[in-house]
Amino acid sequence: MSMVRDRAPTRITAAATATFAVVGLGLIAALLLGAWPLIGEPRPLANLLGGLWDPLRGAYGLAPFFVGTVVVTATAMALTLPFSLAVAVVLSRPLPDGVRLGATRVLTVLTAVPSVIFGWWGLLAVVPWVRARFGGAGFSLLAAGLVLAIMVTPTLSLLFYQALRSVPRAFRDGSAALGATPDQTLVRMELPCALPLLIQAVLIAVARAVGETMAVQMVIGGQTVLPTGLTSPGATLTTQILTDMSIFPPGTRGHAVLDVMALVLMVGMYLLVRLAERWVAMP
Amino acid sequence: MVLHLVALVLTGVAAALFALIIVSLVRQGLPSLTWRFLVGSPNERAGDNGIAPELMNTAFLIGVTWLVTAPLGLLVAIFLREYGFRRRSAVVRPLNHLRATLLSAPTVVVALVVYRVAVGWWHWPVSLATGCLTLAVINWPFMVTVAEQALASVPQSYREASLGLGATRFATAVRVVIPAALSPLIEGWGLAVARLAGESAALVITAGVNVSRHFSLWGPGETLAVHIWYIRTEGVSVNRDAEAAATGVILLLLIAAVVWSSARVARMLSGGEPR
Amino acid sequence: MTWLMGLIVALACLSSSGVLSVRSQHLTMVGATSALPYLRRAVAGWEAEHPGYTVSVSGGGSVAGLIEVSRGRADIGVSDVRPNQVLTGKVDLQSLALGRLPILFIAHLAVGVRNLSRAQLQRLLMGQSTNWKAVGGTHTPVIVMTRPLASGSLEIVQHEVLRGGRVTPRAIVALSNGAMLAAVQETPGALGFVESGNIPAKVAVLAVDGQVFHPHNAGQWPFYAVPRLYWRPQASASVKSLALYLATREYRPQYGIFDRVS
Repeated sequence: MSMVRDRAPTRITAAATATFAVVGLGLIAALLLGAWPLIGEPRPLANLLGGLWDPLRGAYGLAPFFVGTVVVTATAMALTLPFSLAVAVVLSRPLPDGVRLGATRVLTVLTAVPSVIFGWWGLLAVVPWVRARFGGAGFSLLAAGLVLAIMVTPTLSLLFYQALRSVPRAFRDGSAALGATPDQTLVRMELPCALPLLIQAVLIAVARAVGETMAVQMVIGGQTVLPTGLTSPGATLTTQILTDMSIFPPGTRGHAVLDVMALVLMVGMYLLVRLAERWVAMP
Repeated sequence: MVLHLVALVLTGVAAALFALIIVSLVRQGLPSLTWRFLVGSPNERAGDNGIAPELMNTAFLIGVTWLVTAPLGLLVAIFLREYGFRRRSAVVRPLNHLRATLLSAPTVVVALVVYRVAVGWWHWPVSLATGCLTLAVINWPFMVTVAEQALASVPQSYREASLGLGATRFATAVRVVIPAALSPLIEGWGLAVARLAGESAALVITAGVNVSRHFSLWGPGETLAVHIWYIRTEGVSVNRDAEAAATGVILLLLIAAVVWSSARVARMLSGGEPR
Repeated sequence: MTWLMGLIVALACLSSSGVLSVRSQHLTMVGATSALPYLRRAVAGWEAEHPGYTVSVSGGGSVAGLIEVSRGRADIGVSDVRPNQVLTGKVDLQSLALGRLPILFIAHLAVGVRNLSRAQLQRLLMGQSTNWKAVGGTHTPVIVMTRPLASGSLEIVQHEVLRGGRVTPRAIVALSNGAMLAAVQETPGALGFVESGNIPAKVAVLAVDGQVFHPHNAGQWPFYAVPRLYWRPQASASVKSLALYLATREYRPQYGIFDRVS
């Protein structure tokens, strides 16, 4: 039987998969283990949901960072959506093969540009622009949102492009044959057809935006009180982990709260994954 | 046509923005981009800085990580895809959720955990080896994703034909499915290299921020991305901005070269049809 | 399932026995980033005299330096905060000072102020004066820049200048001296502090109570961090040799690390 000959390789692949699961679950278990001591603090939940961050005195209010993460991500997505969709639409029109190929490769290279480079550009151009336009320090949620928007645009464009390409050619031709203009075809037929994939693409981009650390940290200002507006400085969960991980290395009392922040991020990512799965499973 | 015109304009704006970023980076870095810079060693006070050891460390870290995680990722993908589990089965689904969640885990967090295990428990020094381990953990989920997507692109009929001829599942995967999936695999592997090359926060903790005179697996391993971080953090060189930009240009060129050539090879293998 | 169990057992063995231990000739230093430029050069010098040894320097900050060395995860910790029981446990660390690293107060060039009293500086940093006009400068809102909690220089500023008070929570947080310098250079109205041994360009270096900083009188400047090297009492001879080497190079002042009187 073929099963007999297959046994050794099966075991190897199964072992690799098991190791993968152990490493992944181990990572999450390590975070859980690290976060555990926080249970011993007085009123842990109220403390974590509060707005006061003074970790040296035991105040672990994460509200400013939740707000920061949500606002920065929402700003970035709102800014990047029209541009990414535009790039994807242009790419999915009949273009010379060479142009399309070149453009997708350039986009692919841009998705891999290190975040320090975007952060550096943010300091050079975005922060001064925000300062000149809105006053204040320039380091702000808005600056972080702008930098993030630029960072995720190549990724989101490529994902949108793949989504639009999944619409069968015949649908498009049929629509044209019925006398629809290209605009009508795009809005009434292509976008609705590709909607599940488009939404999945947005969720992937959101995950990337939420997880971004270095570039955001460089321009957001790192202020740990609740932000008062889009142009006020703030911090996100990831940037605050980066800022304060040096005062709370593993094994110190305050490290637990960093692990909680990481866990919250992981749970958020998991929810995004499940949400994306739901959308694709629907049609 | 209005919408299409708007799309064209927005695309133009986005392209111009990216061109601006790249051009300003290159303009700032160009004066420092000399041959000496590429082959020299770091020497901030003397004014003739170089990045040769950083280049070597980057290549070593990425190379080893790649060699470890590419086969591991492929094995996991084969197990999940080629052994006839249903997509929503109790084995595949949780593993897929785990993979997708890990894929977006902040790298700093991964680094802190690896640091605790490798440096704390095993008493490894902060070194290239520890850096490799960190990058491997960061990269494994990505490699599994790449391999899974590549395997998924192979039509089911290929497998049925092979299995029908009496081949085992593993033989089918190795002899039929992987060769057919080689093109997207190579493209994804190229992207993985690029992703690794840009990693800095995790390596600052695990691989160190200096270079050694004696190259060793257990010695310090500052990479190009970490070097940019260092220069901008505490660097004392007179023209540190230009050196950071020049290092950035080199890093960008490396990434572009890898992504571009892997995409080319992928296209050659797929017989020139656009994917 | 057997695979999974085997793996867990193997991992447990690895974690407990330290089979993979490789420490003898490869030393690790963790700690304050402010001394990094000096350490990068000096460590290379020590390696040249000790073939076969490699020394890794990792970032992480002063607090991490103390914790990692006391728990045996690093051989030498670099720190400019004082060790205490909470950080180091019962380990009685030995140490050597590298020297004094001056902390300079810097402001954006256009604030119109070059000299502040200690009280004025205190009010500005704590957010009680919010406009440079209040201290005789131009009509510009003050934007305070500070460093993360783990920073040794923040601790010294809060201790020496604010007398236990704290920098305003509305301050912008810059992760490093480099980031601080760049931010103050470019932000109108900015006030911050950096560890530096020379006069940084494109910012106003403030005199405090009439005392002006200059590299020639760096030994007398009243605000300074003292980065120290820490190691465990049972450390090997090579660790001690490295620490001694690092603490005695005569080119330290080139990197802003001065002796008491120079």
